[in-house]
Amino acid sequence: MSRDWNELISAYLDGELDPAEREEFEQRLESGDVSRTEFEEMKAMRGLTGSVQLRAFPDHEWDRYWAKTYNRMERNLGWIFLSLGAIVLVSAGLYELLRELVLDGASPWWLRAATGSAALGMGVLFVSVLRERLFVRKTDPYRGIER
Amino acid sequence: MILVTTNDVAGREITEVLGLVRGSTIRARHIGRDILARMRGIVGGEVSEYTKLMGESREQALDRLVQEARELGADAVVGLRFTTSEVMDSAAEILVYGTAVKLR
Repeated sequence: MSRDWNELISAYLDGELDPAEREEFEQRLESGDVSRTEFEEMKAMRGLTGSVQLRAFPDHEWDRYWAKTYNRMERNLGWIFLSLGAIVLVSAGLYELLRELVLDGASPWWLRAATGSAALGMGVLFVSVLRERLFVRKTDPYRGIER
Repeated sequence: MILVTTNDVAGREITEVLGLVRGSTIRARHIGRDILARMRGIVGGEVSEYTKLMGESREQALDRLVQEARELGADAVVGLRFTTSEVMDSAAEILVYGTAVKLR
């Protein structure tokens, strides 16, 4: 079975070939079956990547990272509590409004109907604006601007 | 598109004045950001929520001005100016205007 020896350059440089394969590879490199240019380029690249040293992440960057993380956690926690409270309060308000509309016999029916209609209209308009905003937000090119 | 606040473009000659071009926008942030901004107002420091709001508005207004200038076939807008006003609370209105010109 014929082999593409050019594909084995990396394996040769990594020392992954057995002694017989190494010997054959070297012979083919000498004879030109294996591209000398490609071999030298890959060897140079290995030398380059091997010489790269990772710098330690600076302490002040770690401090900034953790400050940002704590900040975000605090904010999220705050929003969760605030949202829960707001949902309960708004729900209680809506419930009271509906109860008043249905049970309040003192007000004429048309006044109750008008109040209900106005509340419903506000709700529909808000949902419409919110939906539009969410749709536009996806493609808003100015979202990424910070200052 | 060259945008300058000067009345001419250094090294170039204005060959034709195409007229006034402008771009404007009014943007607001959601109520959550407004709450945070109000809190920052208590403790002080940069109100980054509104910094972002102003930045977004400025870029959008500029893009609209450039679009209008392009439609006129302008090479540059000279005498560029920004103005702002208050139309509604917690919203940023930015108007940018200038003179569209052709250059040689």
